[in-house]
Amino acid sequence: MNLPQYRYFASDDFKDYEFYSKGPNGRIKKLVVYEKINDEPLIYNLAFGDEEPETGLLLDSVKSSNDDRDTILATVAHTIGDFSDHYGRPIIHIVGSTTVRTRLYQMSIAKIYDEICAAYTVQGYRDGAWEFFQKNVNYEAFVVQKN
Amino acid sequence: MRHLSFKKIKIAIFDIINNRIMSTMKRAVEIKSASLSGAIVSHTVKSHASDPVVVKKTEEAKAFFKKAGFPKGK
Repeated sequence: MNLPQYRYFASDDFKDYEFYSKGPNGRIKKLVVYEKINDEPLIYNLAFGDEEPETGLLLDSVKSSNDDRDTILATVAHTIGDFSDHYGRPIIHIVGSTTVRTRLYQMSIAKIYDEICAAYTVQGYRDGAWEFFQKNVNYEAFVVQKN
Repeated sequence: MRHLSFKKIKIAIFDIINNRIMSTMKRAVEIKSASLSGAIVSHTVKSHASDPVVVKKTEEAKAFFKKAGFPKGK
């Protein structure tokens, strides 16, 4: 993937990642967390958000407006590659904290889809069924799996 | 005596340089092996598995798959 990305850091077990968004609103710490939700098939949930500076907890409802959405999402996409390589290429569930955010994820996936479709299988959920990702179709949730 | 001391000093300096080179090389190999796909492993990255948002998202995802069923694997 040729999109610009931030340098990112992983925990020893490759389940937690952090990086800094840099823009007009300063330096904001971003967190990506993978948690298992099913064994067979192996599915993990991706949680993404800002670190609350005082508590250190992940917040997924903050709008940081740092004019770097594509760079952030490219960095999150790279963490999927790292995580997948360490956890047997599981299915990774992605959904935004709001419908608007899920739509933003969809737009971002569409933007990089041509680049990632050879390496990743992307499926979307709509009208009660899973289907292989298509651009310009609205989905309720996504799953990504490294091939 | 003076000659021997000089020889000892030379050996000591060689050992120091050699150890430094070896430990630098070892560190470089460790960093490279821990940096698969671009992530830099850092002991300061803590687990957020028990953060309320993460717990809530995990439970929501479990409920979602119960309702939606599982996608086809690759």
